[in-house]
Amino acid sequence: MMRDISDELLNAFADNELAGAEKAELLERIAADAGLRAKVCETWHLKEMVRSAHPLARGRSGGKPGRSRWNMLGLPVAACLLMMIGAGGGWLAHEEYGDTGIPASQLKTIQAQGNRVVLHVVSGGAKEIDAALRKAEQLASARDGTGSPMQVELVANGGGIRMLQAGDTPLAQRVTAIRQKHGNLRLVACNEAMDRLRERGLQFDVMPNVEVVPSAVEEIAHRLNQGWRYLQV
Amino acid sequence: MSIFRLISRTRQFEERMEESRPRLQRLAYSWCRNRALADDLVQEALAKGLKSHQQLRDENVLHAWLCGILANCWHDHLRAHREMADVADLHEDTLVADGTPEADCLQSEIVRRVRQAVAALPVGQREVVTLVDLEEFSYAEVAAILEIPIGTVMSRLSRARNSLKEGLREHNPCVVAAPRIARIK
Repeated sequence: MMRDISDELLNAFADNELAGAEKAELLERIAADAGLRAKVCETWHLKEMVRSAHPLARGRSGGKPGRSRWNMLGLPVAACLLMMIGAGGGWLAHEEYGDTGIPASQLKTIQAQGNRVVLHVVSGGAKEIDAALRKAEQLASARDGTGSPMQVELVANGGGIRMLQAGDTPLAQRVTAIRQKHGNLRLVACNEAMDRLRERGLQFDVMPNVEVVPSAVEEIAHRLNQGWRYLQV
Repeated sequence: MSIFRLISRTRQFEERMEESRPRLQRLAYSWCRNRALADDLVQEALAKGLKSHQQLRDENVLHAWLCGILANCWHDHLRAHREMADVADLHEDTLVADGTPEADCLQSEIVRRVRQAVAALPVGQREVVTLVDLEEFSYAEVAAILEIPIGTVMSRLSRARNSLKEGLREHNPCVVAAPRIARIK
């Protein structure tokens, strides 16, 4: 049953407080509604503004606030582009569409639309990371309508950054194996997300063959500008 | 030996508390917008934390626990300076930012506007939005830190964000671009 979406619920979505059926339902609504996407985008942007306006001071004395982590004048362009996902050239999909990978019909549509896809991983949940890796492999193994191999860029931020952490773990081994198998798969880590982990005193190093960009949002916006398709996990 | 262990554990606890200090200072500053006051509040919170560390059952939630103590110190300060019972609705506009004109010039206009907008929120809303956005606490954690129901967290957050969106509208591209998207559709 369709219900009104309150500001509280949209905030909960933007803050990653929802799960399961509730999240899946809201994702469907957001993907289909430009107004809701705009609201979510506005909230994400606001969160980044608040965060960046209050950088963490280093050292014990507190001192004066440091410089902003990102250029606030630069992000609006990226945020606008993110908002256009689903309404313009890109398209929006999520893990709730199935954990076995991308449905054949959707993959066919992607293949027909070009050979460049940016896969955005924002969650560090085991299920989401597994889904992201399945989709990355699926896309990297596919060919576009002209028979050319796909170009896939997996961009991780938020909790998703966890999947690119260096170490001798089964996850790191799996990611490395997939990367070695597919030369057309680029792994990209968001430096802002890494900074946030470091702010919490956590040691974080990305695995080899992972490129670090200043901001995942800006990287995605850049790719969308270049005509890449977008898929969020 | 047991005394040695006790001293060692206390020292470890102090070190872990010190690791939280920068984040506590950022949080306190976002609440009071006064560097000296923020430092005093954090120092008070850490001292109280050390004194009552036996009450902390799970050291994994040390930072959240310290944030709760900091919130109490902040509320005590507000009560001491205002004869009001409910600090959540308080706009403590007598507390001014300590930035000099020179320092302000160094900050971007947007950063200054964002800080002003956050500082202009009622205390209760400001606390919730900073705990969620700066400290990335879950709603449940914020509810526990501030000792309020989750529903209150959500409603305060909603009101805070609506105020911030309104106040920072010109800096948020999504607001401007929305009608254009609608036409495309």
